[in-house]
Amino acid sequence: MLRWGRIRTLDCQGRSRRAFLHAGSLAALGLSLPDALRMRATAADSSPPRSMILLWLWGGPSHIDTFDMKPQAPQEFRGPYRPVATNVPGIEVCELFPRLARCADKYAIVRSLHHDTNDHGIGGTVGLTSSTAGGASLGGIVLPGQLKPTHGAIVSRLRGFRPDIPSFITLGGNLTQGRRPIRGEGGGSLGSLYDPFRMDYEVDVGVKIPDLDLIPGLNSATLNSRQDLLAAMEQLPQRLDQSPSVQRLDQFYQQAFSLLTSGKARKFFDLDQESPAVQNAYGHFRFGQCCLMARRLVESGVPFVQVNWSSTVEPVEDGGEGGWDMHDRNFSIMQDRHAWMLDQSVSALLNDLDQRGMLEQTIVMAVGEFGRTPRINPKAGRDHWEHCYSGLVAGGGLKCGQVVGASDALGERPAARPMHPGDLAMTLYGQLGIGTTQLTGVGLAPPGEVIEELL
Amino acid sequence: MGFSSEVINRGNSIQFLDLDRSVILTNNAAPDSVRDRVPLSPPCSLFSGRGEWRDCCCAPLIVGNTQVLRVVACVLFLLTCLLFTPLSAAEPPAVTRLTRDGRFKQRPVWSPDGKSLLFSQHTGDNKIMILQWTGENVPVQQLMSAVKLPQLDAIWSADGKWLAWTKVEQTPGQGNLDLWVSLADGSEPHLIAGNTAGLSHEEWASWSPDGKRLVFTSTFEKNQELYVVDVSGENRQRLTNDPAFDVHPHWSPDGKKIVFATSRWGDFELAVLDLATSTVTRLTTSRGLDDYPVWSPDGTQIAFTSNRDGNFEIYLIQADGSDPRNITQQPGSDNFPGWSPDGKVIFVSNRDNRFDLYQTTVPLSKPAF
Repeated sequence: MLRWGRIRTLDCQGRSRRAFLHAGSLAALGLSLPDALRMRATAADSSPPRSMILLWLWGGPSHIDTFDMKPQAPQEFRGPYRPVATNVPGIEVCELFPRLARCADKYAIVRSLHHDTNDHGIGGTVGLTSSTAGGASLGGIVLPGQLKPTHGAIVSRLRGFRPDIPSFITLGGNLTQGRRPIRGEGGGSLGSLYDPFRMDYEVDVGVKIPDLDLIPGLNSATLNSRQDLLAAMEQLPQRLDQSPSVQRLDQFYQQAFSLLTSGKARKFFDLDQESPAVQNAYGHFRFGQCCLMARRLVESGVPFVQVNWSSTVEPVEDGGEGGWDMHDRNFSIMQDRHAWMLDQSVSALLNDLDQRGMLEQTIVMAVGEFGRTPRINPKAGRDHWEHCYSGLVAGGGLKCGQVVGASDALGERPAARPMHPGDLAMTLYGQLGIGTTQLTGVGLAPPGEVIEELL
Repeated sequence: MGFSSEVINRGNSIQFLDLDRSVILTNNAAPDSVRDRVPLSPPCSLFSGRGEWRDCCCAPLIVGNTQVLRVVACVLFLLTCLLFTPLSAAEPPAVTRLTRDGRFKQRPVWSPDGKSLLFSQHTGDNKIMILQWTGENVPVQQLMSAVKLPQLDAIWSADGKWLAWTKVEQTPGQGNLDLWVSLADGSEPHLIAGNTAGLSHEEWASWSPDGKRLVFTSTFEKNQELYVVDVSGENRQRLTNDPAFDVHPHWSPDGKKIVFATSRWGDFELAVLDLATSTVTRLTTSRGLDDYPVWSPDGTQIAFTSNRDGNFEIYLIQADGSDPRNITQQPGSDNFPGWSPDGKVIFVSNRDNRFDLYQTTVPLSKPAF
């Protein structure tokens, strides 16, 4: 059922010359040149397969107030923040990101992303699957077409199951807009087998595993400490045998639960194994510690980890969990919370991966479903803006310390090199060893064109 | 990227400002290529025994040509420098940590009698609530625990009998924050500034010293401006009218002025509104964000937050904007300053890697008059 053999064949991260020859023969049948070049580079590389950490900035951060500032724009566009120089001459970021300014050589900024929807739900589907197909709007309207798999599901499908650890882990709950779950976070056309295994972290509580809620008598409320979690894990084998709920779980979840009972897995999830200095560097808030968890999971062999900034798009003041959807009070929230949280956690992740020699083999992408209006609205906020926004990519052999693409003078439209989220996805897939061949092999079309400037 | 000779000594590390003050790099954090280019001021050549006296840092004051005169002049110069060194380069005042839960907090405010402290805290389930602190070994209590909607930024009236605070009226929504007043225990709440016709945010209230009016910010008439309103909720009046943001007002102890932060000159700077003349006077001109101003109890100083040195610190200035002093001077983030009735400065800091309340151990202002 798991089709190990087939999956191994499809996984070009085997990095053998045989794999390259296989790809080369397919190139003659229509593979793109970038595919072939990437396969050749991969075949010659004996390093381990790459992994990816997606930092999903749910709600849509303003590009103007983060990585694409417009200090020359009129006041109603530029806002109150100034750009600061980084350690890469010519690249500037918002003054609220002093740590990211010191490590700009470790990432690339893509400033001309765009797509066609300003709905969180559909935008989220586009960002996570590179397509609007099957996406659901705020009003509940489902767009035509079969829902595509999300990035992690594709990686999971093509990397295949491992008996000891899930291939696709999402740190965070289901993404919602207006309390309605969005579509596109899971396996899509590949099937629910490739849905993410979900975990989370909460300050003062620690690691949370929502699927444990399925076991009677065991829920997140009982996991009040690391000791509780470990105790729960100790009891899992017995509970697994006894619980009818668990009996109904599919093989994926049974595998995941089995994973939780292993001593190795405990180490993955136990952030106390990290030194206080490392924990402090990431910041003692949910997103920061989730970034640390993501590093530990990747280090342990998980090929794709998604970290959701929040489950809701709304900020705390709007009854949400602190998302980036700042239609009002944009600047207070940026200044007091979101900016330094993002600055501390992402810079810590990049520096940590680099110091451990993992950055070359780990792709990091931080992006939301869209940007925010360049023109500030009457509520001191910015609204949805899908016409032009920014993303940050790092590691994984990508060419960093650069800006790719550009927006116009007001940040309203791409001025150069417009790029769709699918282009970015295709580029990162390539760095993971997934090209047109692998995608079509599982019934998926390439989501876009490779951004050559990033390679 | 060039670097000026502006060097900030910050305890165990040294930070360097580039020529346009656009980035700060510590000597440890700067990449090699940058560190190599940092033009550190040479040590005094007289005392180091190297170079000619003309190379000495105190050469301008050396009038003689003998070694003794040079040494005397050098010592005098250094003493003079020490005498006039602003507080920003001196050791910051000692602080004590008041909370230890580590959760994100904002706007700590002391009761006028100094016995109780209110602040807003983000809870584990991502809500904001108003908590009351009465001592280090006493559990904090949630104010108005019956109210399930997010509440934030409470502040006492001068007589300690009333509170003003902000409540989120509609969730999930897009910013419908309203201003409420209640008795100090949270009872008898009543709305004094809201917008039933649409979404706007009325927030960050400050009482007039006589307890009859409040100043606050609102986007009721588009853009974020300062307003005053009677405690009854009547006579709402717009105080500022500028395309920029006017935020975080605080009423002076003598009742004559309101200090606030504004982006009308680019980034956030501090300004004072004279209520008698309606004139706005700029107080700060720093590059960087100056925000969250609060008058000292005696009205002679203003505490505020600034990232002018690269990260957010608590500064003090005189009421006329002069003599800025960094009183925190540490690499973490310090924000949301306030004053105790006896003149100590309280603020939120993540200096111990979690967000807690800290307060200077000594008064930095005279008590209220």
